[in-house]
Amino acid sequence: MTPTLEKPEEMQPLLDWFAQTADNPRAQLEAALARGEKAVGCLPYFAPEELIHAMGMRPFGLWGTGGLSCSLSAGYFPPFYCSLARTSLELALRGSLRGLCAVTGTLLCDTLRPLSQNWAAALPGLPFLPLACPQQRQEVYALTYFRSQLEGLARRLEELGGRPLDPQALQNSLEVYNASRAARRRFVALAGWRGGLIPPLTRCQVLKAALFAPVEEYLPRLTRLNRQLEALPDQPPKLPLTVSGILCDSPALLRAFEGAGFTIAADDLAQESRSFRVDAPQDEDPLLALAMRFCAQSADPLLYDPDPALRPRHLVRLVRESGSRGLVLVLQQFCDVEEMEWPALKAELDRQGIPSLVIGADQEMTDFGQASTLLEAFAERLG
Amino acid sequence: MDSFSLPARQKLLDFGAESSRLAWAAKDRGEPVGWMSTKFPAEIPAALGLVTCCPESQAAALASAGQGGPLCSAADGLGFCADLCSYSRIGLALAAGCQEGGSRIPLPDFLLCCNNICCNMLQWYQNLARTLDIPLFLLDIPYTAQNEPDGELIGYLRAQFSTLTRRLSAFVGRPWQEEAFSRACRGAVDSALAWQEVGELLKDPLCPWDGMELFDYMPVLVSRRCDPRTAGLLRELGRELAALPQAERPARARLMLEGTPCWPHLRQVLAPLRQANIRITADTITPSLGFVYQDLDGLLRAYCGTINGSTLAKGLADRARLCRERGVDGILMHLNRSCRPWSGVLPQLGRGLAGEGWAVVSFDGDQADPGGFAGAQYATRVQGLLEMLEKGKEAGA
Repeated sequence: MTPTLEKPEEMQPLLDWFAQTADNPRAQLEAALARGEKAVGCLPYFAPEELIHAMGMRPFGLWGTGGLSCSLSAGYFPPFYCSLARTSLELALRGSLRGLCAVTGTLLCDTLRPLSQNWAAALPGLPFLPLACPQQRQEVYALTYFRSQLEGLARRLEELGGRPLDPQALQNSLEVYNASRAARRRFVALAGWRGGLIPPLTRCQVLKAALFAPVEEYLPRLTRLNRQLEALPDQPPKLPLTVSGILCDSPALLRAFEGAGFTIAADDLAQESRSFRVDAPQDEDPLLALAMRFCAQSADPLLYDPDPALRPRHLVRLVRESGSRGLVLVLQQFCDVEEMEWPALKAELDRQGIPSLVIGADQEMTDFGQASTLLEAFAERLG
Repeated sequence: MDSFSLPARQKLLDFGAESSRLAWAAKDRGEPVGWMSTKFPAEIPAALGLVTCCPESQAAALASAGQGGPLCSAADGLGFCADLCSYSRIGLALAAGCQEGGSRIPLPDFLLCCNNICCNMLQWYQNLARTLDIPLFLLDIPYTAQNEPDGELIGYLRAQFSTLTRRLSAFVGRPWQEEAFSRACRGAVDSALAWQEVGELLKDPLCPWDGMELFDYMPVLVSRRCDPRTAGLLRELGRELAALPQAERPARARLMLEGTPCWPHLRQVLAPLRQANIRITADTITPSLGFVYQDLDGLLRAYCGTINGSTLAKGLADRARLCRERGVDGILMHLNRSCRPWSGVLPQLGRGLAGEGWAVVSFDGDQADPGGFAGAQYATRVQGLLEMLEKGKEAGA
């Protein structure tokens, strides 16, 4: 898709930085280690990056990887497990995560449970620090419980060389991560309306770079990019789309979206907008504020909401407010969380007259020919 | 006389079957009937006099009767893909009215959900709540990857217990009575102890009956463990089993069954074992329905300690202990396609048990979807297990 706006000269170096950062996480980790930093791998979902940051350590996103054929992790997981878990374990078993001092994860799905246990058995030298999450998030006692879990995680991190948790340092980290989240939300709002200057792959790279780069390097660059985008006129996209799922970061798949003429106007991806939708509030107890940030999450298939209509309503609103013509669910193979909710979600989308499509994906996939055909047909249908 | 013709067996089977008749009778009277997760604290609805049914038990029974396939297909037609747990698919198909001839248990008016055994349980029940437009009462037991629940978790659970009992009490319009709750707890603990006593009879090398028979009584433990009559019936069964003549010779081999039974193909699974005089003398499911505790905190701790609720290391230690107590020679591991949290640790668990000297083989199957099982593969694996056991005996000799 040829952009209809002229790219400012100063934008491309920024986009190159985001692309290099997103596509070369190992280089980011090496740089952190060279600076003497202790890095902590952050598995999905809702990792408390601010806590890790406040303790002088580097949070390092761990969402599996593409381009890897799992062989070592096959000794732990039967084939019917999502590639995110299998490839993450594979990376660790191959030594590709050497340098990390620990890995943390929130155990919110039935694949993360055994992943934590297989990890502990297979990698005693790379501790898995589990973070238990309450589902009764609306209750005060859930907040109290989750705060205690964060405190426990902080103690484990201190044992591994993190600085003792200082409330002021955590307050500072909450503020800078809030700013990073706000900048990413702003970018998402701008990216689809700049005449194709930010195609789907570039959009993903800008957001994914946040997983690996230090926030001190990421935020100023994203802020500059947003300013450049804001200075350009609005150009409504021809085929705006909302994308939902756990992640959609395969370059081949993202090019297929672009090839079909789609602009990603909004997303409901666990790796992207779901992770930065909610900020930490102001509170005199910053650890409580961090707990509040998790407990304030809602409309996520992993999380319990007493109102069963809340999530479908949220997605319908997201599609409508973003001006999207439809929704595509990028369904990770063997993700029972997304599989279980899809029928009800589709029924609501149908009821609201919102066209939808499901594309199956797996991080080990290399050929997205079928997805490309489906997207082109979907575009024709919407066109 | 054998174990299948014991009077106590029939009494227990009838007692278990009575649950669904009571549920239908309650429904006919206009009383609310609930669906309850297997490992939801049954003491709570028992204290409030609430009638409940277990859709997982229902799914197992339907799968055994050959109806798992059609109901899973019906769920597929509703948009629920085959990757999902077959118990939940069957439950969703039933909720959508897909059972010809009516369901064995009435559709629920409320839901009691506990996610101690898996995260999918909550999603399943949320779907049921949405489909049927009924209230869901959740006891959230998050997975902590710890061997034992800590004080913070017990505090969270205790707070939920208060809220839950208050809300349920308001829903049913009956006050919460501590004495009724204590009675339910005493019944549950007594049942658990009696159940343990029955299971321990399998330690006898000349025990004449097979451990798979314990699964016939599971509906009683699932649905009626708080009933004060249950322990007595179980002890009666224990006495009658103990009085049976011993087997003429020990079994050729004693196995532990790891995993939920492959209900749609159970005959095919058990036949080669019986032909070879191999007995199941241990399994991971039947002991798990006995919750023993002294007080509320103890109850909450007990319900945290489910099969998928603990660590792999503890799971390995518990299984090794069970295998030693029951004189197990080998482990037959069902890689249950439907149970992600469980099957995800089985390869490592198998290596752990093999490392302690047991012969271990696994086979692919599913707890309720008949499509997940390959008879030829199973036959090969059992043959392999027999050969390993024979080699082990020769090496020992």
